[in-house]
Amino acid sequence: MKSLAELEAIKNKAKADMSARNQTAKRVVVGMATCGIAAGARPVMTAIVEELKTRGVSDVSVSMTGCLGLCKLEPIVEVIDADGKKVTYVKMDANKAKRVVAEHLINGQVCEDLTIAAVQG
Amino acid sequence: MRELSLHILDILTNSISAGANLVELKVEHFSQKDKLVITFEDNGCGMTPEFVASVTSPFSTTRTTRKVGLGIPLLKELCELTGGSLSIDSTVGKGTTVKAVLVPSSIDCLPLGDVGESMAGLVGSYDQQCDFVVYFYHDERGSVTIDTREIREKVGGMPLNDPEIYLFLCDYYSEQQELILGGI
Repeated sequence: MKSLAELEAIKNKAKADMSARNQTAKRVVVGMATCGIAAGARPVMTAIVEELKTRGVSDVSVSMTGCLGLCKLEPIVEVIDADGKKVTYVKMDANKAKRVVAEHLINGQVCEDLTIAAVQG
Repeated sequence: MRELSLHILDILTNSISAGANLVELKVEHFSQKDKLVITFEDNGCGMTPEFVASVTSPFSTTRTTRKVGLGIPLLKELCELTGGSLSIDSTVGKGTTVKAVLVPSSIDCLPLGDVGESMAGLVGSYDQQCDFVVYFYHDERGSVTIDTREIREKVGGMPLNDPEIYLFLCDYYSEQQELILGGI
């Protein structure tokens, strides 16, 4: 059973390796309106967070947003790099999300086959 | 949607869009009356009586990307399929309360699913904007309240969308849910 007291340990651990942490530079945004949720966006978001934690990545922030306007291509994940360049991944699932974390967020290689251009084109 | 917790996530995002900074979610199981009551209460911008009247129609939405909004209509349909109901009480400038009543023994009722996963995402994503109070109640097992203001105090200024905190919250909410509402 978890208790809120454990949060203090998380806080202290975070403080301890604050020096090793980079400023949050990259952002991941998951569309989480009715369309996204129904298409399975929630497990996609969790998969991204889990993968970031597993791989010890700390310069990426993950958040949800409303409808991105392309419901038939949900779940949609946008990756915004430090320089503001945005890549839109569509029809995501947990496995594709893990690939994006490894290839794009860590190694800097865009997963071209999962982008909106490749899938919709 | 395959779980009630996905509906919960969906309806809670309406409160965020309404600019709420405090949202209360109650999930109450009255097992002796065979009722599951989910209440969403926010202090957002509220809705006019005309909009409340139209909001259960799929062709009513505030979003600009498209002309349909399905969150409330889908939940209403589900409630009614199980033999329950959905009601909305809203005052402009004060906030909105949505109350969904379901009959858990109905074959059409969805499992509650993982409320923890829904909450962890919301709490992290809207860290700067909104606090959430979650209340689980069961008429034989008691109740539990999880307040993000208390969580905030514990982590002392750390962003709540940190992966460690996200995964902690997933488990923490889920365990409390299992304790009080396990089996639905």
